[in-house]
Order: sequence, then structure tokens, then C-alpha cells
Amino acid sequence: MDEINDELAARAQRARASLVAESARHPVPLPSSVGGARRARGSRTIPVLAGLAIVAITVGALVVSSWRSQSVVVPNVMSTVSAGSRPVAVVTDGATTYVADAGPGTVTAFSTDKLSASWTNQDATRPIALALSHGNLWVLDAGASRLLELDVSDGHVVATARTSLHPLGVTVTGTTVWVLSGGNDTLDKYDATTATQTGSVDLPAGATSVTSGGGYVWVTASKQVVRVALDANRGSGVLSVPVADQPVAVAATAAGTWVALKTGELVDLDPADPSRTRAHVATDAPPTALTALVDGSAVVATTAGTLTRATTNGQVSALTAPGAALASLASSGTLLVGVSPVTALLYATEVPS
Amino acid sequence: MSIRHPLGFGASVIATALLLAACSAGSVGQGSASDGPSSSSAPSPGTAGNVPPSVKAVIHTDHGPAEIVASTDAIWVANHRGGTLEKVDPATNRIIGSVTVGGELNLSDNDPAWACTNVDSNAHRIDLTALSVTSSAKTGCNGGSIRVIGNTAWSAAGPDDVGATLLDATTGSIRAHLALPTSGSGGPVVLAHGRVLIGGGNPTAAYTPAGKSLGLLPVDMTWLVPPIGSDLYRVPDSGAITQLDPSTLKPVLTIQAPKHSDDWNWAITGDGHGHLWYRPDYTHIYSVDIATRQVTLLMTLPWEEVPTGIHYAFGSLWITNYDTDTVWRVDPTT
Repeated sequence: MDEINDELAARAQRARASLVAESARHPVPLPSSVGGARRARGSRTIPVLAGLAIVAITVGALVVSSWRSQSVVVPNVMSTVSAGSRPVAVVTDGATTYVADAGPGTVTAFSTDKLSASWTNQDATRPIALALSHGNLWVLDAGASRLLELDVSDGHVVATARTSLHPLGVTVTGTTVWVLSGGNDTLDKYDATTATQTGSVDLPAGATSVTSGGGYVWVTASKQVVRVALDANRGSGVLSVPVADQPVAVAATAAGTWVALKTGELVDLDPADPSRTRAHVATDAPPTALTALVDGSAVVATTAGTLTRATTNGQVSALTAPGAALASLASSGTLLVGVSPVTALLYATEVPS
Repeated sequence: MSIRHPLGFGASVIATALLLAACSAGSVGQGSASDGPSSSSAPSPGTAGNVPPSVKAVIHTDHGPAEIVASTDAIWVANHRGGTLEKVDPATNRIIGSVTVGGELNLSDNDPAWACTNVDSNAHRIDLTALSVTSSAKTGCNGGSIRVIGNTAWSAAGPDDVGATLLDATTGSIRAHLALPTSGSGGPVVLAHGRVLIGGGNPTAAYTPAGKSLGLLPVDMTWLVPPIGSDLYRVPDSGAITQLDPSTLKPVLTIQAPKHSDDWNWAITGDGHGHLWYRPDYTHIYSVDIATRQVTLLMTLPWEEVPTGIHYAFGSLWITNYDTDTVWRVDPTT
């Protein structure tokens, strides 16, 4: 047992060293479009956040799985890196993780292996949501009510499109980009190849978030979850499912659809019949973000700064505790990433399969 | 489940009306004399897509421009998707002001100071000078219509609600609710021979301008359109453009034009001096000469998810392009 502990300690040490080295080589750019006070604070932020990044590396439960010597992302070890000033959204394709920083309005690509920044785009004013498709990154710029399409190789803008009033979220299915408009209570459809709007789906009032998975688009609204067929238009193809309380987030794969409720409950809906609940578990605190893993399980972040995994058979296990409420979670395979606007950090770990 | 209409009947059938917008103090909305897209360009038919040669200017707007009306000094565009009302200077063809009103915005058919947000069925009064929303009231206007007559804004409810609401046109406060005795009376509201008629139904409810009921008139106003100049028209789906005597409400003139297919994807406007422009479907605009009763195809439009708004003012025909976020200024004589 001592040998295992020693090995884990050594791995954590290597991870910290790698992170510090990479952070030094790829400093996260300073905010460039904020006021003087923000810049003055930002000028002191690099060393402070680098220190925070070192301190924030948390060794979690003693679970060992495959270890890549060049990576800072290890199972149940929550690695972190500075992600600007107010990161609010994250997506990942496994190799690269993209973070939207609503503070200065930047989008940054991080190499997931080493959590090093590879490029930063500064064309948005207040990016709040991200989605990946076909080699491009879709950025929802709520500050300018725009949708930006970025080339993932270097972050340059490929196309832009206007959104409807008060855009809240974005997701992609096939060649369709879906943008949730809170001002119109619509789910607007854009052609991903031309970045032009092709239609709108009417939603119930109070829509708050959108995701896709399992052959549908899913929306959280006032005390209901809305399943939207991929060919929906205007009022057709929309199924509303009442839930017990205000849903905070929804995450879906072909294996399951999870809904996090404000009260601290996690509900697994049958995608074929969303009115049927397959699992119903409690979280340790109100949820703040949710993602679904390929095996159909879900990981939920809470206001208590914890990450909890729930499976479709109702089993719950604590993953780790980043210590801060994460505003956005994303996953690819066993990789789990999240961001917190409070700590301004990007968190990454591997979830045991 | 309630239905939100991309464009209300009364508002999509846009008539020519040049009204001064009243101004009042107070501000709850947000506006700017310069924000929002403001570019304007002369069209380049060879490079700018399918821009007909009669288009003299292309004005780039906020998202989803739909309805368009005029005041004495400006063109006003309601952006259905973007939720903004934008002011266009007809002298420069540039957007010179913008105010965010709300989701799925529609306009009053005769006064840009009044607009309906379909998303919540609220009628809003807008200070067109300060570019701010000064009052909002739930009137069920989604799919209905709003028209200002005297100092009263008449808001006829759409199909999700019933009745009509009378609001003070200056303050926006509600004066009265009218329980219409007929169903399907979403407007438009017109002033005819001293009576206020609420169209859209058969028979037709009539009121005094103060809101006192005059009973039901045994006339079919299903296809009534807002007044064009001082003239009253009905345009049934047969395409028979029918001018009505405002006193007797009997036909005085009929011009056969192409039929339109349903109750909201067509529009008509006019100059009040003998010329009408009629869009019976998504893609065609016809000129109608009332004196000669000639109907000729003026131009073909690109297909839009929501049909274009058309409005005649300042010697031009103004056309909104919903899908491409532009307004065309068209010379109707070419």
C-alpha cells in the first residue's frame, strides 16, 4: 500500500511540474478589452494564477488507471490551469479543450495533454457557450447577439451570423447548429455549412439551456424538459415533459438523458419516452453543471464544489472535489473538463471507466 | 399550447400610413441613436446575389427584419428575431437609431410607436425620440393587430386571446377591455365613417372612437386590410382587391389580382394616390394601377422563411428580407 501511495505521490509531482512548465511556456493572454481596473489587476494575475494553479492541483481518491507520462490529466487528479478571468463555457474533443471567457470576451484552445494554450480568439464580446462540429468551433457571443464559427486549427473566424434576442446556448447535430433564444423562446436552426438561419422552433416560456444527444435536441425550460426532434419546425416536433422542479441543465447521449434539478436531484429520463424516469438520485448540493459520459452515466458539478457521478442503475459515487462550483462541464471518452468563473480555472481529470 | 405567429394578420398586411409619433417622458427600454448595424450600400446586381435592378439601396438591419412602417421623417423596421426597432433615415438610407423592445417583434400597422412582442403577447409603447420603451401591457396582441386612432391605441387580440384592449396612446395606460361578440376578430382595426370597425370576422363589431359599442354590422370583414391612404380595402383569398365605401361598406371597385393562399403570407400597400403594391405570396410583388385596373408583375423576391414586409413611403417601396437581414429600397417605377 505504501508503494502505491509513493507512486501516486510521484505521479502527482510530475503532473505539477509538467503543468508549471507548460503554463510558463504558454501564458494565457491578458484580457485586452476591459477597463483599466481590470487590466491593472490582470497584470498581477499571471504569477498569482500560476501559484493558484499549483496549489489547486488536488490529489483525489487513490484510484489508478492508465497513465500517460506526458499528460497532466490523470485519473481522479484534478489538474488546473488559468483560463482567463471569467471562464463560463468549455467543450472538448479529447485532444483540445476550448474555453469561453466572458470577461474579456476571449476563446482559448488548450492542448488537453498539457493544458497549454495554443491560440486565443478575441473577436467575441461576451462568449457564453461553445459547440464543436466538423472541425469547427461555434461560439455564442451573447454580448453582440452573434454566432461565430472558428477554425479549430488557429481560431480565426470562418463565418458569423446574427442570433435572435438574448441567445443562451448552442449545440450541434449533424450539419445543423441550434441556438437557444431566451428573448424569443425559440430554438433557431442554422445551416452549419453556410452559417445562415434556416428556421425556428417555438418553445415553452422560460427556456434556459440546450444540449443534444440520442437523436434529439433537449432544452430546459420552466419546470419542464423539452425534447425537440431534429426535423422540428415552428410548433411541430416538440415534446414537453414536466419535471418536479426547475431544471438547471440537461445532458444526453444515446444511452440516457440526464436532468439536473435546482433542488439537488438528478433524473435519468428514457430518451424514447421522456415521461418515464429510469433513475432518480440526490446530489450533495444544488447542481451547477452537468455532462453525460459515453457509457450513459452522468457527472454533475454542485455549488459545494464537488463532482459526482451517477449511473443509469441509480448508483452514485463521488469523483473528486475541485472546491469551486463549475459553471460548465464537458467530456470526451474518459476525459472530463470543467471551468469555474469564480476561480478562473480550467479543470481536467480522467474518469475511471 | 399557445401559438406564436411569425407575423400577425393585421400587421403583416401593411398599409401606407404616415403618422407622427407622440413623445413622452420616461424610459424603461434601451436605445441608441447610433448602435446596431448601420451599413447601407448601393446594390451590385452582379455580385450581391439576386438583387433586382429596381433596388436602389440595400440596408443592413438587425436579425429578422419583418414589418416596416413610416413616420413623417423616417422608416421604422421591426426585427422579429432580434427584437429591435430600427430607424432608417430615408435621406441617407442608413440606420440612425435602435431600441430593443422584445422577442418576436411586430409593429402597429400605422404607428411605429406601438409594437407587439409575440413571445409574451404584450403591447409596448415606444418613445421614438428617446428610443426607449415607456410602457408595456398584456393585450393578447400576438397574431392580432394594433392601430392608433386619435389618442387611443386599439389592440385587437389574436387567436390565443379574445377581445380588444384600448390604451391611452400617450401614456400607454389601459382604458378599457372590449369583449368582442364575434370570434376571429384579430383586426385590423379601422376608422370608417366615424366608426371603429374591428375586422377579421363576420359580422363585424363596430364602436365609437371612445369605445362604446355600436353593435354588430352584417358585413364580412374577414379580409379587411388597414386603410391605404384614406381608402378602405378588402382582399379576399380570391385576389379580388375590393375598395369599400367607408359609409355603406359596400364594394365600389374591384380589381382582380392573383389569389393569395392563406391568412398571413400576403401583404398590400399603396401610395394613397391610385397605386397599390400587392404581394400575394412569398416571392412576387405586383403593381396595381387603380385607374386602369392593370395588374403587372413588378418584381420577384427571394423566398424567405417569413414573407417580406412591404411599405410605400418617401417615393419608394420598402421591402424587408427576413432571411438576409436587409431592407431593399425599391423604385417602383422601374
